[in-house]
Amino acid sequence: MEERKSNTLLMDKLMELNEVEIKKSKVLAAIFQKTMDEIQTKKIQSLDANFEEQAKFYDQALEDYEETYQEMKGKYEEQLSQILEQYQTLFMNIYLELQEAECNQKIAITNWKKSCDIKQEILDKANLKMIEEYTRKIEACLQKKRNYDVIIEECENELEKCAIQMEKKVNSLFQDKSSQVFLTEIGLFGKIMNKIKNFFTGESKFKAYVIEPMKVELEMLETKLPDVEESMEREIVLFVAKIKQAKAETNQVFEQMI
Amino acid sequence: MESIILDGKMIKLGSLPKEKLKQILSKLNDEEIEVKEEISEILEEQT
Repeated sequence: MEERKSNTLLMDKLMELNEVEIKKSKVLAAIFQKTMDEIQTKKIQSLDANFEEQAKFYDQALEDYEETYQEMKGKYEEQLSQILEQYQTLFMNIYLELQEAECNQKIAITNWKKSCDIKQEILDKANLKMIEEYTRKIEACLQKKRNYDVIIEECENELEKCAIQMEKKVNSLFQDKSSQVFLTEIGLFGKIMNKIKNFFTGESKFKAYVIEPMKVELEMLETKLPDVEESMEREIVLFVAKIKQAKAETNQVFEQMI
Repeated sequence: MESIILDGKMIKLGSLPKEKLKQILSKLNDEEIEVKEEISEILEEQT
């Protein structure tokens, strides 16, 4: 009676753990998606704001540059998306490894319980060899469970790191445009002088100091992106290999123990 | 849209701000630690 109660309790707790882990996975994925959306929105907004302010500074009508700007903005969005998608792939890979590790840990616990029950059954029969065998299995399952604790923690840490790295990488590649805006408060005389200067050179300066640098930056990013993508792909492969290795070693330890 | 049931209420995750999601995650982390401790206790008692 007592044994059945403890069996039910363990299974209940495993189910409870499973539910919490599923909820956690969904929340982690939602946080990651929000972070991605936030980064994208912030970068695009800063690009728009910078362009508008620069156009205002050089007295240029935005409509005159609509087509050029939309083309550059589209390219910028595309490049930004490429980087974010790489991090999403990394996130998904870690996420899948985490789910598999959590699942394997539950199997180890269930096998531990099964071995405990069998050992209990054969205790009366005084089969020493079998009792020893199941004692080893019980220890091996426990060790497997403990090893999966470490793998799960590693995956969770990597998931957290993934969002932080994504933000850092995007900020290093796509610098905040607002910070480049340099507008000083000037008096009425200064404003008049600016108007006169802009009347003669506003268009050429706007093209030289705003449009051209943006184009150059986009081209530079275009050449940098394959390297960034390659290094990201390498990172994904390395992470998956590291976790697969840890899982293989866990299984090896288990096999050696039984 | 992904949703979860928390304290008996259905929550649409996509509609929540990031800070709220972080609060929910922290709550779930605490729940997870608690359940894992209970499982470890059962394992220790019976081994």
